[in-house]
Parts: sequence; C-alpha cells; structure tokens
Amino acid sequence: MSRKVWLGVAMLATGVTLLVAAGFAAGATSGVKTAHSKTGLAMNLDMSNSDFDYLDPALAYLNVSWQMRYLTDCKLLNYPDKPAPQGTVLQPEAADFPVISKGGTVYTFTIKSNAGGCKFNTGEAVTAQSFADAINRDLNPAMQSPAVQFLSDVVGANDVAAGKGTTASGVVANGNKLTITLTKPAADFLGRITMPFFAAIPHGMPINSKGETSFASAGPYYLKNWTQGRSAEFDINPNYKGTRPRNVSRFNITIGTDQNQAFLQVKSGQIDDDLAGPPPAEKAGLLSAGLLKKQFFVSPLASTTYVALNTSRPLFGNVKARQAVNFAVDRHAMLAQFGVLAGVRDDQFMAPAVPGYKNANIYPTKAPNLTKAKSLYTGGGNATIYIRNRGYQVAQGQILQYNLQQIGIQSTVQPFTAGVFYTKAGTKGEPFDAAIGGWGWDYPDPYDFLNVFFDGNNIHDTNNNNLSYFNDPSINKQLEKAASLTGDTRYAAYGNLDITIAKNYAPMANLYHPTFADFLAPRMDPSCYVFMPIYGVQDLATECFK
Amino acid sequence: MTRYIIRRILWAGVLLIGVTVVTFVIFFLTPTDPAKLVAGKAARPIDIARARHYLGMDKPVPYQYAKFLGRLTGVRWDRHHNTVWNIKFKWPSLGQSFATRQDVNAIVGHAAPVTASLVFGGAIVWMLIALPLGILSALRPRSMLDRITMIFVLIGISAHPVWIGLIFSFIFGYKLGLTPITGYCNAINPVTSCGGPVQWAYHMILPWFTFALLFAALYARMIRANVTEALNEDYVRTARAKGAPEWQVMRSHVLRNALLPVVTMLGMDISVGLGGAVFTESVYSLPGLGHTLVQSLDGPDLPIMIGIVVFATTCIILINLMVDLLYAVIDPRIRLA
Repeated sequence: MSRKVWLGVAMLATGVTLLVAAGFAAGATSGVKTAHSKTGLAMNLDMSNSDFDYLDPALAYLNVSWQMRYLTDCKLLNYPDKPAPQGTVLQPEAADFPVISKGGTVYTFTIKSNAGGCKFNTGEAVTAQSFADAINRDLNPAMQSPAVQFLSDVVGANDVAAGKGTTASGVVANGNKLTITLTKPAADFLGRITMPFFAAIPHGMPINSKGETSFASAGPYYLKNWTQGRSAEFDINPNYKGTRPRNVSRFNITIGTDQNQAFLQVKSGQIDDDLAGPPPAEKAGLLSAGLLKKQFFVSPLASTTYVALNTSRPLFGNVKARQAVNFAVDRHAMLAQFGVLAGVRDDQFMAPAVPGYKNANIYPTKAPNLTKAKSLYTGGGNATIYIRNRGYQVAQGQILQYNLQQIGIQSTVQPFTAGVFYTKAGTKGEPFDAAIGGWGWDYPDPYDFLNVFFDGNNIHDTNNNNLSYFNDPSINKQLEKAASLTGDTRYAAYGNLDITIAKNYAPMANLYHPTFADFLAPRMDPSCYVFMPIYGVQDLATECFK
Repeated sequence: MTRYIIRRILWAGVLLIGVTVVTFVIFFLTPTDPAKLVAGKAARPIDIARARHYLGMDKPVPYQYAKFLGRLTGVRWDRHHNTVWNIKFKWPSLGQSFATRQDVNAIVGHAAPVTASLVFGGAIVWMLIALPLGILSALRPRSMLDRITMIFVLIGISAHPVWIGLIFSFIFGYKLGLTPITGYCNAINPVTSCGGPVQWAYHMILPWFTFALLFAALYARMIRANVTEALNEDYVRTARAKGAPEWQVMRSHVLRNALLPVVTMLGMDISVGLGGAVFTESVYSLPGLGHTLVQSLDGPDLPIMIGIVVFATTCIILINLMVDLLYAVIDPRIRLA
C-alpha cells in the first residue's frame, strides 16, 4: 500500500512540476502586447516547409529569398510597393532611368546624389561601384552564381565567368555613372538588371561560394542574423532615408515549420503570418468565415501550370491529337485539386499579369468538350504521363489519365519527386508523352514565358524547359523577332504569338494560373496588405498593425 | 571483452562502408541533376557544365565515392596533371550540400541534438509511463487498472504518431493553449528569442509524449508480461517464504529479472526511434535529422542524405554496442565471446 502511494505521489509531483513549468513558460511567451499604434512593432513570421536557399544577393533564387531581398535591397531601378498594375512598373531608385545609346547596346545609369535615400546600415555610401561590384561578383566563377545566365549578353561577362579576368569590360563605374554595354540590343535588359542578383553590395564583400550569411544592405531593412534551418531576423536600416515604407520594426522568422501547425498559430495569434500561406484545405473555411480581404488574401501569380505534350514522339507529334487534348482536358477538375481560389483557369500560356496578355477563349475552361475533341482525333494510342508526386499533383495525373481515356488514349502515370521530374522531363529523348509541369517568371517580360517554352533553338540534351520539345522554324523566327522589339509593339507581338501557338500548334494544354494565398493574424491591419506581383509574394515592407 | 569490442568496431566499419555504398548507388540510379540546383532553372548548357565540374559530378561514380571516403576519413587527395599525387590530412568531413553549399558536418551537428533531445527525452517519458503501468497491471491482473492499461496499449500501438501529434497539438496547443502548437527552442545557445532549459522543455512536452506513446504502450505490455512471469518463479516464492518484505521481493528478485530484456529492448528501440523520429519532427517542426533528411529528398541533395545516413548508422552501432556491454554488466551469466 505504501509503495503504491509513493509511486502515485511521484507521478503527481512530476505532472505538477511540468504544469508549473508550462505555466511559467506560457507566461513568458504568450501575451503579445496589443498595439495601439500602426507601426513600430516586431512582426513574427513562420516559414513553413522551406528555408531561404541563400540570402547572399549573388545566390538567392527562391521566391521567399527574393521576398526578403526586396526588403533589404537597393537597386538601380525598382518596383514600387504597390499592387498591380502600378507594382509592375519600374521606377528609379538609386539611379535615374538609363540613357540608352548605340542602337540599344549601351545603358548609362546616373546614380542620384543621395542614391535615392539608400545607404548601407554600416554607414557606407551607395555608389556606381556598388552595382559594378555586384555584377562582377556574380560573374566570378568561384561564386557559381545562377545570375550568370542573365548576363550572357554583357560584353566581357562570359570571359569573367570562364575565369579569364575579374571584371567584365562591358561594366564600367566612373564617378556616379555606371555604363553597361551589351553585345546586342535586348529589350528585356532593364527587367533583368532589376533582379535581386544585381542589387548594391558593400565594398569588398567576400567571394564565398557558400554565400554570405551576414552582410550590410542598403535598403529599408538589413539582415541581422540568419541561422540556416532555424531562424532569421531582419531589422530596420537606420541609415535608409528613402521613400519606401517601414512600418514594422523587425521581422522575426522561424524557419521550417509545418504549414498546418503554422496555420493554427496564426489563427490563435501566436504568430502574425506564415510565408507559405494557409494550407490549401483551409481556404474554403476561411472564405466561408467571411475573412477574405480581412485576414485572408488571394492574389494572382505570374505563373502557370500546364500539360506539356511531347511533340517529338509519335502520339503528340500530331497537332490534331494535341488540339484534341486541349478540348478534352478538364481544367475545372484540375484546378479543384489545388483548392478553393487556387488559381484562374486559362487555355493560354502567358499569365494575365504578363504584359501583352490577351484573352482569346480558344479552348473550353469550364468543362471539356469531348465532341469536339473526338472530331479532331480518333487515332487512339498509349501515353506515358510524368507528374510530380505531391498530393494534389497525383490527383491531377489521374484526371488527365481519365480525360485521355475519354478520347481513346490509354495511359500510365509515373510520379517523381520534383527534382527527378524536371531532370527526366528536361532530358531530350526521355520516353514520356505528357508531363504536368509549372513555371513562374524570373522577371516581368513575356520572353520569360514564350521563348522559354517554345523556342526550338533552345532545346539542349538536358535541362530543357521546353518540355513539349516544340520546334517549329517559323515560330522560332517569330519569337526571336518579338524578342528584338520594344515597348507596346513587343508586348502586342507576344500577345498574338501566345494565341497563335495555343490555337494552331497546341504544344501544351495550359491548365490554370495559380494564385498566392495569405492568412494574417487578427492584429494585422488588412488595409496595409500589398501583394508584390513581380516576385509573387506579399510585400512585407508595407505591413502594419491595427 | 577487449577482443569483443575490437571485433565489433571492425564489423561496424564494414557495415558503414556497405551502407554508404548502397546510398551512393541509389542516388546515382535516381535520374536527377544536382548541377541544376547550382546553375538555376533556365541555365545554359555551359552553365550546367560549369556547375557539374564545381560539384565534382563530371567525374566517374567510383571516383566520386573514393573522394567521399577520403573526406570521411580525413584524407584529402587529388592528382595534379594526372601525375603528381597531392595528399593532405584534415578534419573528417561529410561534404557540402548541393542545394545550399553548407557543410554537412554543420547541418548534422545542428540537427543531431534536436533529434537526440526528442529520442532520449521520449525514452525517459515512455519508461516513466510504461514502468508503473506495467508493474501495477501485473500486480493487479484483470483489475480496472489492468483493463485501462490494455486499452491504452491498443491505442498507442494502433494510432500513427503523426495523427497523435496533430491531435495533441490541436487540443493542448491550440484549443487549451497549454503548450506551444509547434516549434523548438535550444536549451543552450539559443538562436531565437526563445531559448533556455525551461523553454526547451516547454516546447518538447508534446513531442516527447507523441514520440513516447507507441513505445510506452509496447513496453507496458512487455513489462506486465515479464513481471507476471517473474512473480510465478520459484525464487520469488522462496523469498516470500523466508519472510522477505514485499518491496524487497519486488526490487531484488522480480524487477531485476523482469527488466533484463527491457534493457536490451531499450537500446534497440532508441536506435529504431532515430528513424521514427521523423514523424514527430515533421508535426512539431523540430529541426532534427529526420526533418532535414526529408527536406533533402526533394532536391535530392546527396551529401545531406549520405551524411545523415552515416551519422545515424554510427549512432545505432554505438548504441547497440553499449547495450551489449551493459547487458554483460547487469547479468553475470552473460559472457561476451
């Protein structure tokens, strides 16, 4: 009897100790102070299922990394902290718009006297050399920067990338002037040079192939610390005197959280936002609770999800078969797998946010038209479909399989992890007939959609993004011609090509353009929410509190 | 004993090499191109080739494996102009991540303590639950407590840790607000504003119970069976007949014999737990080895995968060796050959 009592007391004591500790700890962490002012508080964020790949400007490439780079960068030109369409229009930041000369091959930027208010948090000034250093650092082969591909037409860039020299001869900083010379005119150059790779860097920033994790920034905020896989902190740059908003005093980010758990944390107010957005399954509940535009925001992305039809293989080498698929595929069902408000169905490849987009209603987007599909193609056949193996993508593969079956094409579906999927589908000669893939732009120009998808001159042995292996000489010429145009003429040419390719060649069956969803904690002021259309992320600089 | 230990260590080396070979082969059989991670999604062929050379992926697979073994043993070797061998000795390294270029030593070094705190803390919790439940059930067979214990065992064995974790975090974390819903704080050297032993324990309460539930159920049942069997032994009847108090009979005769198999099982299950921890780590966003391994599969990122496999294999081998040695100490009948 006494032994049993002793055991019981011991367990009771253990339980009480834990509860007391929990109580103290709960007191220490809970109770976020209610804000009476809109600004000056720290924002607590989760980053679910992900981490920054890098925050080093030469290496950062993921959307979430560019989201933070947009907070910390000072660039020659930049996009304003406004939603579309104003948010897609470049405006001067550290420099005025460049003078373009010599047939569109020479760009001369004049850095403003105060560099647009930009100054490094260490006190160092932003100069033309700050940007020249960034470009040359990106080109340095020791950095292995993915920015190299976007500088291939800068004079001397390829030499630096090959290890012959440390500075590109076509990049010259002289006083407050930065001159960049291209090998040929490029109408998309301003879009490319505004990518985060080319933001101002402090003098002497080390060459480090692993990426610097602590460095000065000249934008509204700077990276205070980053422990990879664990946490990051961004603080206000006290030396920044520009016009960009800075309502939040600090961003505390917990990295690698679970999206479902983070959703509960936002709901309970333990954190303010999850950078990954709410889980797809929760969106319907948020919508029916009337939280749209109050705590729940949905914004269109400049990206697309499609079924690539491999034109290099017999089955879909037949244009009628491809057009039949476009009539047979159930875009509504495909999108439904992605969740409520998950995207906009579209039969064209360019997203509506892409300049030049024109909606032509070529194929049905609400429901398949099997009658039309069968009238186009009755040849039957067997198809191999490649998909990625995430939950909703598996369902999409099954839907496509069903749709093909309805027009007499039998198929097998093969799922792969994302890395394997893109490697296999991007290898020329790979034995697949259809692949469900996705794409998002790197910079706001239709070149980054149509030329990437359909220019047959860019087909290599591996690492292809033209997953339909479409190679039509006349289309190749038209794409190259469009790439040489500028302004509205350029966008109109691309808009027409988007329709022509979809209607007459149908190398892909476009499904939908995804949206980005965000769910904020109750203390966040919804009127401050801005979606940054260029990078497809929430603009954290504009956030404020109720 | 010394010969036994030496033999076990040599076999451990053979096992490690076997495991790394299998992992290497599986990775290279998987059609993937890590160079694309480095060069970017729209890279030109020349950029991909440059990235492949930087990663050393342009060399034959056996060469890459030999390089890996060299790094692992601290021997860095290279050949200049195919003539001169250049050999250096450095600290053993598991390589560099393809995706982020971080040292895998550092990645594993940061993740391992998290997994260790989950597994060892969970082991303590499951023993704290299983021991009293198992013993009391054995002492009171077919009582209400015994029946409740068996129901608990059934639930613990049947319910998946992910489901248990989600239910726990929803009820205790979200609805009742008693614990954090998710997250991890370092006990020492905190990297966030949340840190220290109290915060660490506070964030680990639910993960420990989630992780422990399955094992607690199994162990409660095993302890119950062992204690019941020991209670029926002749030496227990003799001890009671000689007038020994019940607590002494339990401590010196029953438990000492009944818990011998538990010691063996504990070592093995801690090793198994290293693999099962991935579920709990995923639910509670614990940045441990399992969570890191799952994230590396997306790339896939071979150096991290192989680094974690090597580390986990080494831990399992060491733990099993310690269990075997401990068993020999506890049970004088055991002689290590």
